[in-house]
Formats: sequence, structure tokens, C-alpha cells
Amino acid sequence: MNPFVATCVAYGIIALLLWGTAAKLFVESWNLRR
Amino acid sequence: MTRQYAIIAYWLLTAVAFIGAIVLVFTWTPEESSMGVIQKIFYFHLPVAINTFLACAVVFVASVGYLVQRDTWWDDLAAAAANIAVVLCTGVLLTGMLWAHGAWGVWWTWSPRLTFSFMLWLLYVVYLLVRSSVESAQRRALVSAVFGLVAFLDVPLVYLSARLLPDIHPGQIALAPEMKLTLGFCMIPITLLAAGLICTQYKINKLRRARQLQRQEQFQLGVAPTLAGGSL
Repeated sequence: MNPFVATCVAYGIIALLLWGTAAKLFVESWNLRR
Repeated sequence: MTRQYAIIAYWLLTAVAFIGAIVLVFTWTPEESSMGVIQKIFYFHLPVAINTFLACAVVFVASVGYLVQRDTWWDDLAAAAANIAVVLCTGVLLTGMLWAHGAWGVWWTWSPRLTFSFMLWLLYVVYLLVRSSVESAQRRALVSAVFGLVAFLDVPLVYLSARLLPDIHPGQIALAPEMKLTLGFCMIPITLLAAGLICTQYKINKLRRARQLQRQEQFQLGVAPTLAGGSL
């Protein structure tokens, strides 16, 4: 794999994992409060 | 309302710092001479690893807190931190694999640090599985607290393995001043994100527990008069 692409994929994984979890938790919290 | 604005401001600040960190890594920070661009994974890999340890430490402290005080809020906190520790540890393992493939030519090798890191991920996945398999809330909290204490023993092993044992990881890394500054800046959004996620997950756990208690009370109140009426 091209090193630059691999680096971008690594940053994408972190962004997806952390912000994806945040989005999931926001939705869950919203549903519980309704 | 003010509290809601504070929460929105917190997440906006985190998002801005996150984007700023990525821009800093790709535009301002120099490339490392031997590894090249792939070394830039390090600026998120290390902060995520440090925050994994911190999340595990929160599980440990909350487990001790529960065993001492038997207060359910410790259990909710431990469960929240364990959830986020698994997410963070998954990030460490995946980014580590990408870096390993670029730098060492292998996706995975059973070196001490990698093995202990994989064990750490497994331990906290099992922690969550154990939680979901115990029905009684009190027993679940007790079993989880004991498991949380034992699981934390792996954290010093991950940290010390590359220093004390022969490992593919370097024991110490020499960084240029710009690299140190970037690393320090990247710590900010990752730490803010990890703390925000643990707090949000904790609130959800607390809300769920309150809902469950409410439902139990309603059930008891609803059933009692029927039974009384039936006996009359």
C-alpha cells in the first residue's frame, strides 16, 4: 500500500471510530431523553 | 440551557482541535528521515494509546470505588470507561497494523507489546461480555468490579514490555522539536474526545438505570393492587 494512502487510512479509521462512537452515543442519549 | 450550550461548545472545540491537529500533521510537521510519511500515523497512534490506558485506569478506579462504597454510580462509570477503552484500543491496534506494514513490512508480529496490547483489547471485550451476561444488577456490578481490577494488570505489561523485553517497538523515540509540538497538540483533541465519550456514555448508563428502576416501581405498583383485589 502507498505510504501516504496508508497514513490517510489510519487517520480515517481514528476519525470514524471516535466520531462514529460520538454520533452513536448522541442518538442513544437523544432517544433516552425523549 | 447554559449547560447544553457548554456541551455544544465542548464538542465544537473538540472538532476544531481535531481538524487543526490533522492539518498540523500533514502541512507543518516534517517527515521523519528513515520511515517517511508513514511515521505521521504516530501523532494519533500514541495519544489514542495513552487515552486507552487512561480509560482503563478509570475502570480500575471505578471498580475499587464500587468495591469500597457499593454505590451504583461507580459501576456506571466503570462500564462507560470500559466501552470507550475498547473503542480506543481498537484504534490503536488498527493504526498500529497500518504503521507496522509500512515501516516493518508485516501487518502483525507476536512481539511482547503487540501481544499484550491484543490481550488488553480482549480483556475489555470480555469485560463487556461478562456485564451483558449477568442478569442481577448487584451481582453484575460486583463481578465487573473484580474483573476490572484484574484486567488493569495488563496495562503496565503493555507499557513496560517494549522497555524491558526485546521488542520490535523502539524503547525510546528521538523527536525533532516540531514533532514534539505536533504530538502535544494531537493529545488535546484525542483526550477531549475520550473524556467526552466517557461522560456521554456514563450519562446514558445512568439514564438507563433510572428508567429500569422506574419501570420496576411501576410494575410493582401496578401488580400489587391487582393481587390485593384478587385476594378480596
